[in-house]
Amino acid sequence: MSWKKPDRDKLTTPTPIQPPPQPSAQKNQSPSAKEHALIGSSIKIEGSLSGGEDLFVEGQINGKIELDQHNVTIGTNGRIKADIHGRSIIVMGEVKGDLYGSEQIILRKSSKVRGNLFAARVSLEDGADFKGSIDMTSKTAAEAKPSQKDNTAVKPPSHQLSGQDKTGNKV
Amino acid sequence: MVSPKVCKSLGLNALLDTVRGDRIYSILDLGPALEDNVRFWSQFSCWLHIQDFYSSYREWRAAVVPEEESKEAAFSVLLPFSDETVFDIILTWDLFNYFDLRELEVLVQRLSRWCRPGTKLFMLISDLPNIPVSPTVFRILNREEMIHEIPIQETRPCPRHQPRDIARLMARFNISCSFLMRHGIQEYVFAFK
Repeated sequence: MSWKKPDRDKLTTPTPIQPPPQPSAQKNQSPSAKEHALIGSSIKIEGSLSGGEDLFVEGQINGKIELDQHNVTIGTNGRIKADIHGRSIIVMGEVKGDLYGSEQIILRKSSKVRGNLFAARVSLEDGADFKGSIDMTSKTAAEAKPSQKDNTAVKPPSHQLSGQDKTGNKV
Repeated sequence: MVSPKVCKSLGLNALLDTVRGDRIYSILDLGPALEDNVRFWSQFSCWLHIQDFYSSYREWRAAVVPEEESKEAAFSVLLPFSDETVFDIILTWDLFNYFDLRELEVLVQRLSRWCRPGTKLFMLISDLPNIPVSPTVFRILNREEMIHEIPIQETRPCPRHQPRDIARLMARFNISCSFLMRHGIQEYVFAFK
């Protein structure tokens, strides 16, 4: 009968646990793509806000939000008096200002928005308190120019009415 | 609490018959913002202006002192479009049932500022003795069907505007078409002269 001496190295040096394999999409993701900034409910910002990451707002912002390449979410406590430029803009709180979404704008049912919406896709849930204009002229937000400041009194810029006969052709 | 009813709308169908796919429309919707209606209009190339006029009017009335109340002032605040604004379609839904003729004169005068020849105005006038205490919500299902979400908790007397009163009120418009629906609602499509 033979006895084999246990391998000392194996006893004293446990095999390290390997981390689970990462999906390739996550491996390739840049660190900044996963980052987002949070403005808490006690924070109030006056002025222009820009940056290189997604933004979640539960506080107040008066001024301008310019995050063209990033997602902007206004939480239920968020109170914004500003134009918002973003890739995807989701509103659950209050906004007074124009919204420019290069991809989409979503107004959740808890939202209250006074302003104009410019995006390739606009989704508005029932219950959303919205007064303003929605640009459905198949233009991108980048092409849309800010209109007059009175948010509820928007006239489509004259170039958007091209093709209409202002002298009286019927609709 | 609401009672939803699917109703055929010959008026809406007639209105949409005039809408072409090759141009951009400017639409004023005096009703509330509704997911279905936004989705419906998104099939056209348009600017959709949503005003939710009745709720704004009620908020305004609650905020002002009664003796300082002026319909002209209210309507200019609630419909603050510039003189250069032009609408191709105005959706008033059943709003006219909630104002008397004097108020409607002011409202129509204001709306007329933003009409051009051919501008269409869609309205529903009730001939029932009573109407819901607040306007019905109209959801467009397709070009000839709408869901009427009728508030059923309370009612109020209907002004029952007569066709001759409507014709006088809308003197700057022609009646393009008019349909009496089974439940006592008359649909009108007007065209600005």
